[in-house]
Amino acid sequence: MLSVNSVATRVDRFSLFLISCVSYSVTWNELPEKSYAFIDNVSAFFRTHSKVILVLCGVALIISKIIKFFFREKHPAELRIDYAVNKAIDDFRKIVFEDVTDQATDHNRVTIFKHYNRHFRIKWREIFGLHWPPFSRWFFSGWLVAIYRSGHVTQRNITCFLAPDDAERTEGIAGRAWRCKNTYTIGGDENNTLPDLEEFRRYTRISVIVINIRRCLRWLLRKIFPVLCTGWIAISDEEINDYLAGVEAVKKYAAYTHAPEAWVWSRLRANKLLPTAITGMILQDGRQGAWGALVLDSKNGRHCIPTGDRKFMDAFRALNKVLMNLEVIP
Amino acid sequence: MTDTEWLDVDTGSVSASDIEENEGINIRLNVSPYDLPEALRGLMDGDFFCLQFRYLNDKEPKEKIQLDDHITLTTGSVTGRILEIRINVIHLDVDKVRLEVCKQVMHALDEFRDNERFKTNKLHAKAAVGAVFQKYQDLLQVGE
Repeated sequence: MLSVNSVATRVDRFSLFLISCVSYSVTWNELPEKSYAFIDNVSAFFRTHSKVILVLCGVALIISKIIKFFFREKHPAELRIDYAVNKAIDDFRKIVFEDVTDQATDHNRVTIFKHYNRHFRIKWREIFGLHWPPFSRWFFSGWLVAIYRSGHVTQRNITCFLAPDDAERTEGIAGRAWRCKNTYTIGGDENNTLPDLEEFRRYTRISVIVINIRRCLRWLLRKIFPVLCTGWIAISDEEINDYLAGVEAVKKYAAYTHAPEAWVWSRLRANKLLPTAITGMILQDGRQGAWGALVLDSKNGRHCIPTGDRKFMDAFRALNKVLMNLEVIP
Repeated sequence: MTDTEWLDVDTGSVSASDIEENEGINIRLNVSPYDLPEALRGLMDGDFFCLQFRYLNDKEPKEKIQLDDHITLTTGSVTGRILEIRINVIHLDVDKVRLEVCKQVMHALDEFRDNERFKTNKLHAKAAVGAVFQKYQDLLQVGE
């Protein structure tokens, strides 16, 4: 079966062929002394419809290029590099999360982020400037984009973190590690952990609106018609406190991880993972300096082994060697 | 230059860390693995005692800085890591060479940590000092 990418490639080539036919047909009559009826007819057709053909081919070329951009297939050499890097990350993960008995690979992950000065992404909230501070997240902002992640799951739609030159605005633990050049560890200790937001997944956008309407109604009815304040309208104190605890926990999580509150809510609602222990560290090259960040996150609150540990250093050296040898950094 | 063996540093014990508080939660800052000296060696190069540090990604352009008449520091021009301390021992008191070298090394490391002209990471400087303290007995055997 033909893939979208190969269809686009064929459309692309056919459009180029038609454009060359039009350009050749324009000069056809000037060239030969002999006349060939069939070719004359074809060239006359192209001459007559040249404008339409050129416009259609132009549009087809643009569309096929866009499709090829979004549905790009990797070259076999790139696939081999991916395989080698993924294997190196998986090996690294096994060593640094040594005491983890949980078999779910998405609970203890290692992600490699690469820094790009510009990165094409579409987020409506950002495009319309609804993100706070407004107009702060644009294509040219400077981004940390995930290029590799351990395991075989949670590989799609990995968050990109803002890492601009204006370092105050860096986001996420990856952004913080990028900014401070040290290893940045948060959560994981008994008395020092990130809030677990699992129980607040039930607050969808609609349920939050309903709760707030009920809170307003309760307040109004208590003031005006205390008798009517019963049944569904009378939202209980317990429900309100639960909701406020959720809001507070999300606020704290966002503050601790240097992420926007709206982003934390959107991840909760999208049933995405929110780690409770995170370690971020910068990735650098001897010649070019910093080029990315490595993030080790854990959903079960288990930290990776200390980053100064000889075992960690050896595992990191092996991973670093693979990244350098395969020229993951362009 | 006399070739001597590298002495492996127990990186776990020299890894410097710091605590930063962010709205009630403690964030632990550790020295990056790139800035942790993995191994050290001391060697004699003519009239000079050289203390060299080895790191991950050690192939980087070097920058030499003359600290005073007798001490030269070599740092990485990209990362700012300390790569070598070079001490001229010819002027030192013959009876107290080891003690003097030790003093000079500590002086160089203090300067590296505190002097504004070295744009170094404080945790890296702490780790470098820790590594030298860990191995100073072995390092001073050089030239015996």
